[in-house]
Amino acid sequence: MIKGIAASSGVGVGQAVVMTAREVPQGSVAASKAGSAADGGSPPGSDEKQRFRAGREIALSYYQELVQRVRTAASEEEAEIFEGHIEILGGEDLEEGTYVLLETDTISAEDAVRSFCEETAQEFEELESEYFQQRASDIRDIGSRLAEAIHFGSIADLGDIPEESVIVAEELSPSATARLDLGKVVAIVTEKGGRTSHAAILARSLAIPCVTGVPGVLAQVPAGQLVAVDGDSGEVWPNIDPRNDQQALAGFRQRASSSHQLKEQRREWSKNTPAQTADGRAVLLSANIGTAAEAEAAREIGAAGSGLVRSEFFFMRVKEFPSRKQQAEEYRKICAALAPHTVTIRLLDCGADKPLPYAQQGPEDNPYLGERGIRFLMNRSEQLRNQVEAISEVAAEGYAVKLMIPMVISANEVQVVREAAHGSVSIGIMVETPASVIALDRLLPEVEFVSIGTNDLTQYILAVDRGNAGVAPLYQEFHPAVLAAIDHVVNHSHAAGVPVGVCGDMASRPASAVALLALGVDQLSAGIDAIPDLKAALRKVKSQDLENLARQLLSAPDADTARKAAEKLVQDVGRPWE
Amino acid sequence: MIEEMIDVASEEGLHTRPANNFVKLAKGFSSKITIAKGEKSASGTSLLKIMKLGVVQGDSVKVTCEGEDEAKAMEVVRAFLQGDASVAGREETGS
Repeated sequence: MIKGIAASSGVGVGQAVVMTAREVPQGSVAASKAGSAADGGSPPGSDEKQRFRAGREIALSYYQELVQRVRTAASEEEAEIFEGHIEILGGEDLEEGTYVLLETDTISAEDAVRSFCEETAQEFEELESEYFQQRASDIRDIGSRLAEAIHFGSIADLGDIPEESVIVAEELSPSATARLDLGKVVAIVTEKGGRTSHAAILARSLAIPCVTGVPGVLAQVPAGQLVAVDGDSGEVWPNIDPRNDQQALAGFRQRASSSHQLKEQRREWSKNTPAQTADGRAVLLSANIGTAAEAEAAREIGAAGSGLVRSEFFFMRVKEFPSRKQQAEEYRKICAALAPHTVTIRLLDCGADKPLPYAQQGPEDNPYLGERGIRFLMNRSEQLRNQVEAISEVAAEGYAVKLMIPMVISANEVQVVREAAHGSVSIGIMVETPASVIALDRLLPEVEFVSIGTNDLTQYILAVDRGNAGVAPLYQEFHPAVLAAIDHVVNHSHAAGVPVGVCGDMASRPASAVALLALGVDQLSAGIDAIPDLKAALRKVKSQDLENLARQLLSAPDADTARKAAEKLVQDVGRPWE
Repeated sequence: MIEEMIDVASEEGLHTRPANNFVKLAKGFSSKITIAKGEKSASGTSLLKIMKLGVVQGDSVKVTCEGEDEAKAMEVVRAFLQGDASVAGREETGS
C-alpha cells in the first residue's frame, strides 16, 4: 500500500490505465539500411518506407476514431479540424518529404517523420498570421503521434479505455482530461499534485475517488493491473492479484459499491431537497463549474444554476485562443444543461496561478498584482471582444446568462465590456480587490449584480498569500476586516438595488456560508460536491439565528470568536441522506 | 488553362478547416488546380502546402485551373474563396 493525499472521497477498484508520455528514442539507426546495402537488393530506405506506411495506417485509424469521438462529445468544428489532420497525415506532402529523407540519409522512419514535421512546423512559425504560426504545434503533434505509431505499433489512447478504469498519471493536464472518457473512470491516482491540482478539483466535482501526490506510483503500477483506491484515507493498493487476494478484493469491491451507493443517495437527496432554512426561507444556492460535464453534475445534484462559470477551464483545454464561435458553442452547452436556471459566466481569469500556455505572458515579479483577470483582456482587445460577443450571442438566443468581470478596480473596465456587449446581456463584477470595496459606490451604477470573490478579497485585504505555508494561519476568512468588507458591500449594493452573490470558498463551507447569509448575501455559489452539505446545514438554521449571528460576527473581537459563533449554528447537521 | 486573381473574402481564409474543404473540392475535379500567394504556390490537393501559403481574409491569390472541367472548377473555387462555403458540400455530394 502507498499513501498519498486524499483528494476526492470514495473507494474505487479497477484496471490501471497508465498515462505516460511514451518516448520514441531518437537517432535509432535504421537496421534495414545496412542489410539492404549488404545484399545489394532493395533500394535505399525501402524497409523504413514500409515501416512508415504501416505506422501511418495505425495513426490514420486512430485519428478517424478521434474524429468520431470529438464529433459526438465536443463539437463539429473541432471534429473538422481533426479531419484536416487526417488529410495531412495521409497526404502526399508528408509521404514525399519522409521518403526524400529516407533515401538520402541513414535514419529510421520515426526520425524522418519527426524531422520533416519539425521542419514544416518551423516554416509555419515564420508565417505572418498568428493563426498559422500556432499550427506549428499541430504539425509537431502529428509528427510525434506518427512516430509513436511507427515505433510501438499503437498510439496510447485516452478515450478508448476499459469500463472501470483507474487512471494513473504523473499529473493530469486539462488537455489530457478533455480526451478522457470520464464515464469509464472509477478512480484517479496521480504521482504529483495536491488537493487543489486540476485532477483533484475535477474528480471532486464529478464524485470520482482520487488520491494525489502518491510517491513512485507510476513505477509500481503496470498497465492493466488491478488497483484499489481509497479517496478518504489517501491509500492506494497498486498490486492486487485477483486469485490470491480474493478476500481483500471482495472487501474493496464491497466498499466501492457502498461508497458509490452512499454518494448516489446523497446526490439524490440533494436533488430533491430545496435549499431553504428551517423556517422555510428559500436560499439561492448555485454551483461553481468549469465545463459542460460539470454543468450536468451540478444539475444532477440540485444546484440552482451556476454563479460562477470559470471560463478559463475551456481556454486551458484548447491549444490557442478559441474563436467566438467555439466559445459560444461551449457556453450554449453549459446554459442548456442548467436551463432554466441562470448561468453566470466569468470572463477569462488567467494569469497569476492560472497561466495560459499560449498567451505568452512573461514572468512577473508580482503576478497576483499583475496582468490577471480583466487586465489581461483589456490588453488583448480582440480576445475581449470575442468572449464578450460569444456570451452576448448565447444571451440573445434566450438563455438565462450573465457576464461577470474579474479583478475590477474602476468603472472604465465595466464600460469597455458593456460597449463590446452591445447591451444584450446582464453585466456584473467580482468584488475581490480592496479598491472595488472601498470605491464600490462608483461601480454600482455600472452593474446589474456583484459577486464577492472571497478567496482573493481575503488575501488582498489581509495581504496574506494563502499558498505560503509561513503565513497560511494568518489567512482568515472570519477576520474582522474581511467581515466588515462583506457587510459594507452588502449594505451599499442593496441600497443601490443591486443583488450580492458570493462565489469564493466561503460559500462552500457550511459555517462560512451561514455567516454570509447572516450578513445579507443573496446568492451562494459553491463547489458542486459541497451542495448537499450546505442544504443539510441550511435546514438547521432559522432566520432568527441568522440575525443573532450577524450581530455576533460584526462585533466579534477577532476571527476565532466570529468563526466559532458561525460553527456553533451548524455543529449538529449530520447526514440526512443516510 | 485559365488563370484568375481572386480576393479571399471568407472570414477564416484558408485555416485548417476551410483549407481541407478546399482540398476535398479540388479533388472532385479532373483539372489540375493550383493556388499561389506571392512567390509561393501549392497544388490544390496538397493541404500542407496550401496551409503553408498562410492565406487569410483579404489576401489576393492567383488560381490556375487546367483540364477538361477547368471553367466549372474556376467557378466553384471562386465562389468558395469569396465566402460561399456551401459549394464545398455541394461538390462533395454532387459529384
